[in-house]
Amino acid sequence: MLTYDLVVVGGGPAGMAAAIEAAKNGIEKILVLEREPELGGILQQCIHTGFGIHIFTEELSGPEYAQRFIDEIETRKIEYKLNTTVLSVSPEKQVCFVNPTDGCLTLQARAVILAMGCRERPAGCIGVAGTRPAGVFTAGTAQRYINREGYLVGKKAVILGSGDIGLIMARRMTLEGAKVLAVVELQPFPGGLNRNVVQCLDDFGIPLLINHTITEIQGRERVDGVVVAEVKDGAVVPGTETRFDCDTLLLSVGLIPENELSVAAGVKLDEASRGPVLNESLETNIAGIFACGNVAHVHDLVDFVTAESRKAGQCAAAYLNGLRFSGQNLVRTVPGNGVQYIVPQLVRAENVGEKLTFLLRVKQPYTDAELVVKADGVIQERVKKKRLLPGIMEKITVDAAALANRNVASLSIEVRKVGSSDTNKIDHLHCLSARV
Amino acid sequence: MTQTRSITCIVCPLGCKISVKMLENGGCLAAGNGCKNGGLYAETEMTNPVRMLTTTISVRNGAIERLPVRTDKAVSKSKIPEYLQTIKRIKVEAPIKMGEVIGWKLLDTDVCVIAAKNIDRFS
Amino acid sequence: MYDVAVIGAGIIGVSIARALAQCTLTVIVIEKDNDVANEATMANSGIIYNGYNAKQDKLKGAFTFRGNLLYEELCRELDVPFKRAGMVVAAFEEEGMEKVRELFKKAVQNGTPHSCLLTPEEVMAIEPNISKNVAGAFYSPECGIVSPWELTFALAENAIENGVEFRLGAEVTDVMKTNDTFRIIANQKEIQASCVINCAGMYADKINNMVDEPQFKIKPKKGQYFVLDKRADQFVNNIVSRQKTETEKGFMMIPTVDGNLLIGPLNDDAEDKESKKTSLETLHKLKRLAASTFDNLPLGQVIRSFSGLKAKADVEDFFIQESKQAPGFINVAGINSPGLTCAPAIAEHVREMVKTVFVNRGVAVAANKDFNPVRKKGVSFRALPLAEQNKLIAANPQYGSIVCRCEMVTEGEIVEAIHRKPGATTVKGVKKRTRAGMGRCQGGFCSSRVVRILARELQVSLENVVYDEKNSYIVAKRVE
Repeated sequence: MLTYDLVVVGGGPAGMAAAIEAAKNGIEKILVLEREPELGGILQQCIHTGFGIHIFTEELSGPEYAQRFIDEIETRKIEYKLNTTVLSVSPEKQVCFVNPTDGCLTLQARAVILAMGCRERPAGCIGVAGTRPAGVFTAGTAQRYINREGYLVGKKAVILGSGDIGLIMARRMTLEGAKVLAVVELQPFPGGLNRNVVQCLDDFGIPLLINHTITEIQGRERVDGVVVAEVKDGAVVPGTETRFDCDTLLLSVGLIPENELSVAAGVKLDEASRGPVLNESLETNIAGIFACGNVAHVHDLVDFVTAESRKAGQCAAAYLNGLRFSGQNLVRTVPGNGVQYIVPQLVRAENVGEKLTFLLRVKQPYTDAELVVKADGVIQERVKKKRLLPGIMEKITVDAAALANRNVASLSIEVRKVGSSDTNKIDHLHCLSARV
Repeated sequence: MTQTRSITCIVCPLGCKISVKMLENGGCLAAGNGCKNGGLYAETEMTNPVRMLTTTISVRNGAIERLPVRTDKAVSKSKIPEYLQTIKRIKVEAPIKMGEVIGWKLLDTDVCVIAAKNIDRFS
Repeated sequence: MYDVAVIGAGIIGVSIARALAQCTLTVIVIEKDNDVANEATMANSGIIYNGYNAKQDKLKGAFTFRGNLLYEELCRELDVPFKRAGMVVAAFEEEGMEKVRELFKKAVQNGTPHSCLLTPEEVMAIEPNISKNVAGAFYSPECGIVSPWELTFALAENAIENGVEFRLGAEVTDVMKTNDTFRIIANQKEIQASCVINCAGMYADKINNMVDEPQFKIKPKKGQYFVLDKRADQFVNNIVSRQKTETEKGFMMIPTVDGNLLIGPLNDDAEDKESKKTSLETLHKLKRLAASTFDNLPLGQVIRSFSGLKAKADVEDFFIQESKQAPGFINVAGINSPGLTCAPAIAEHVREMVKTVFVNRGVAVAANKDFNPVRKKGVSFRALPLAEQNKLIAANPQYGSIVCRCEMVTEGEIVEAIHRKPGATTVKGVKKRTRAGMGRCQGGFCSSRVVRILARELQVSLENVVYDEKNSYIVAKRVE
């Protein structure tokens, strides 16, 4: 059986950054497996700008951002296969894939990086009632039709869900000549970035209906309308139903990390992030299998994906070069009040340098709050945050010294409104540790 | 007469809420921006709002159907439909290199259109 | 001029057509939709009953027993998956238990072997996820599950192999009788036949009324369902039904042959013959009912909800009769539950009726010596062993290109499904034949690819590819 040092499943921004970083760290036999006819992943259909502000200090479009990495893959002569679908990854790191030229092949990898990205939540998952005509698309599918195939999916649309994809598509459809009647959002706040609400909705006079949902899809063969109603305390308010005459419904109602291969390989998932349980090296519960990018948890900025994936590549390289940790001092991260999930979920204290970085999301919006990091209940750090939104992933860096010395079992991060009574306590603690 | 408007900055994902006060001398006072870029944005937004424009155009003989393109600088928001019309009329043929300028001086301004992707010739 | 024209290409019409192909009769099947198996056949529970509940003095009863007996052999001939499954009818209160005991009595009267009553402990032993409030259940093995549309395709393919003609996208607008010939108008074209079988489902009454006085009225019934992802397939071990009472409707938890789980149907009168919409109210009711019947219901695995319309006639039984006013016109109407189970038996019965029609006219009907009952299904890449997969790809690289990654369907299979007879001409047609689009992401990834393939193979523009019926276009227009 053909053997590789590292097999990367997915040639999008995550897979590419991870592969490049592994190559930089001396790993030679790398193979990237990508199911599309080109590298770049979902970026190839994201023609809008907004990518690269952190990584390249430039505002690039999706394809331009992807090309930077594609160029480096080519320059470093990292091997990749296109039009290739991975069928399975075994716990022993055997990767089985299929493509029209090679047929079905199984390779033995010494390490695997999972970078499969995510899928969109379909209509059936959210239980919208009504008919099931043509003309209902997830926003990403509509984006593919417009930007890759060159077809407008409809002329008059309503969009359910105000996540970034929904907002971006509101603008895209409008620019290509369609009329977008409204963006309907169940929550009391938009799901995507404020900048997108401005440049995708406000710029075009498209109303954002928060606290609303779609109660019925109408139309026999093709959509001919949707019924929108107000929602209060989780229930539809009777009498608030309005019918919108339209021929298209776009859904932007959530992304789900695509972990079918991971689960089949025996990788344990975190229900909160919907991605694998990861340690500080972005390694799953199976030694030598790593994960990064949207498959680990859904990101908002590709720049964060790149940073995370570079780390995964670095750690995979270290693993391949023989670095192992016994995992004796295992710290669990615990999402506290207001926190949806934290990545990584586990920290092997002996593997941590001076600083430890966590990525997390909050469950609801907060203003004038702070993120409080506690080790076994004792406050370690407090970071003031003017604004916290579920739609914006937060990065928090923590001093790792505390973990290194003590046997900390859990590290929690919670949200607190500013002006908490714990203020005095923390100062006292600092004094204590200073004396020791 | 002065007027104060509340706008959301679109320069970076933070989206600071900026309150802008128009001054009698034509200038403006911005408050709430987290950085200098926000201040600059607030000023242009009041006087001549501009936006980066991206779209796709068809490619002849390309390995893929559509070429993503972008303007090289932000364009006047009010003129976006006209810019789009002009851009759609640009004819390109593969092979195309990312960064190639494919349209110059749109609508008699210094705005150019750049190819945002490499497209090989259809084989 | 055909010997027999069958109106309606659901499982009943197609079963009858295939049965008729076993005689030396020329047969044409006329269907208003773009595809076979597109209405009630597409949207039902897929259960083959064993007759525990049968009313012996009715056609429904007699045909259930006969149908159940014929299914295994039929599915073997046609290379269609068929699985035996037990039926558990559970009750949660005394009223339900009374009905369950009556069910058991009926089963004994009907001679259904191995049927029994279960205590709550016994129910929980065979169905660990059932609610602790279960009061008891009726159990009967030897029921079965099948994919009704897969079976109908197989029947249609075999019928075509044996000389039956199909005309799709042809709505019958008039039927007239002149002497012994029927003139059927569909799509402004005339088809002539000596004998007509009316299997028009929801519109069987409309078709009947073209040649005869009204004999029955079709009352549409709607059943709403949830579909769960294959990850939920271990949730039940049998078909589990909740016994309906005066106050609470019944519903079922039905494993499918493909590994999905159906919850439903919650049955209601339909607003009209076309209204296939689901309602939030009914879906919520179904969820609540299911949650009170089972513990740990994996509602997070729901990938789809749908509703199916069933054509129930306003008479007590199936309406299978030759018209007195228009001899040679045979109604096969109101075939609601257990229509799927009865289909093979109905087909046999109607074939005899047709033979009688011809014999009465002095025309002998012989057996078709060349009839080949065997049909082999198309390639299913995911089911093949590795060596076979590679042989397939080496011969045709399209089998190495995965289009639907949730169900692992290759481009080769989709192309084959388009070119088979009757082939797929729509996205839904590809879905039904290959399962592309039936998985977790419900076509989010593959549907644009399927549309491209259809456009290429059928040599039409993308704007002309439809989801199902002729106005169900997918893309509106080219971008400039």
